Amino acid sequence: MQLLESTPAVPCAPQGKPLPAAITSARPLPVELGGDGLTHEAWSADLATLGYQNADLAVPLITSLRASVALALCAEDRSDFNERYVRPMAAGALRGSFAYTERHDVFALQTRLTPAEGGGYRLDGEKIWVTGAETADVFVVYAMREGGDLRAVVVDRDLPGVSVEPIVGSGLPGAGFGRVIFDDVAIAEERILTSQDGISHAQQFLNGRRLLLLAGLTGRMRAVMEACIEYGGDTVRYGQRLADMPSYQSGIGRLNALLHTSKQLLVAGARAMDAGNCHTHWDTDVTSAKWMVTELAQEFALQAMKLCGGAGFEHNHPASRFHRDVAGLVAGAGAQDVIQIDLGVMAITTYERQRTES
Amino acid sequence: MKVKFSGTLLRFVDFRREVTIEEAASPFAALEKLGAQFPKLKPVLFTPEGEVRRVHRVFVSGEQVLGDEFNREISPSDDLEILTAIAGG
Repeated sequence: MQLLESTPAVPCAPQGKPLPAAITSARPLPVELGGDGLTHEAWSADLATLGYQNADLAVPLITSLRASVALALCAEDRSDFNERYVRPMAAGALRGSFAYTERHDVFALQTRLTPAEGGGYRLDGEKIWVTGAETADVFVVYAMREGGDLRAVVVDRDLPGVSVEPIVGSGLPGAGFGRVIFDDVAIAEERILTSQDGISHAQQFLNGRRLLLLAGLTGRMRAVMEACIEYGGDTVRYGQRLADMPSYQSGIGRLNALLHTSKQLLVAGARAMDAGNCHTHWDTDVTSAKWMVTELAQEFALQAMKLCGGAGFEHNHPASRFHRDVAGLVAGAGAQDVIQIDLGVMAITTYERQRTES
Repeated sequence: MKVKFSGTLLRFVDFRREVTIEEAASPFAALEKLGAQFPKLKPVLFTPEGEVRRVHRVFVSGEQVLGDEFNREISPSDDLEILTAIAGG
């Protein structure tokens, strides 16, 4: 079995198809900072196109991540951040990543910002599963100051004491996951984000990410379904094309239903965000959409492999790759089991509250 | 005044789903009393600048407290509920 080499974290053109040249991480950024000012719905459509045209689901994932980090820095409304980071990010000259996850919950994060003699801070700690770490130039890092005060801080990769170790996932080869280690890194006061506290900042960032992740996913689902249709059209059994057999048509229908349901959840969430109808830090509809589409995508992947038989089990087959890539969303962007607990708590407390009132 | 908590915050209030605090004049004052009664909860509820962290959804007798409503008047018979959902990356 020939293993895939890790693909670069940039959009790549599949054979015979033109590169969608206009789809870059700049697209949702403000026009005055070099972007195109796309809405969530329009940006989601772009990301779906990237997902459709690229065999590695990491391509829309990374493209949207870089944009989300740039938007987070833009939201600080600071001219120094805009010139040093946002404009270069819009131009593709800098790439940002979000360094949040540790083997601890958010109230017990161990990465520390300690006041330094003469001003500023020293940053020490480690973040795991940092998406895009391998090729990032800038990290937004969540670190604890005295008194349990979590803060987001911008850290340039080339600062002394910053190092990255790759983490290889079972899918998403182009995602460039990494462990980022901060060893006595000198941090100036002005690198600390001040628009809101670190916990709130991280939750708002993740709330938006949960929806955008679905966009590339729906594009890839369409591509995988088309690969199954092509296989069914090319494969003849007992004198009949698979695509002409009701059992195969039913299987494709299942894929189509899963795809369209996922798209509807994505579009509804994107439109709600554009209309300002979402909770900014933990939206029930957006979070439910992430949970549901991840569950549907896993079922989709298995169904696609069933339709393609042995071919679907080949390492490079779209169905097989999709099956591995989707697994990354089980734990990523809000682990499925944690989301379920939170949704359950929300439902129970809402019901009990309403029952008390009535 | 009774205050209820969701799972994420339980460990800061000795795993008690519901606690009782002194009467408070506003939701903000009620949260301050909570912080005084449970010191570990205080930095979880409030930023160092003294603002209520935006990740918490606070309800007064079933009605969510939004934005600038934390200083509105509440009655001694009101109860509080704090829902906090925290997502990972």
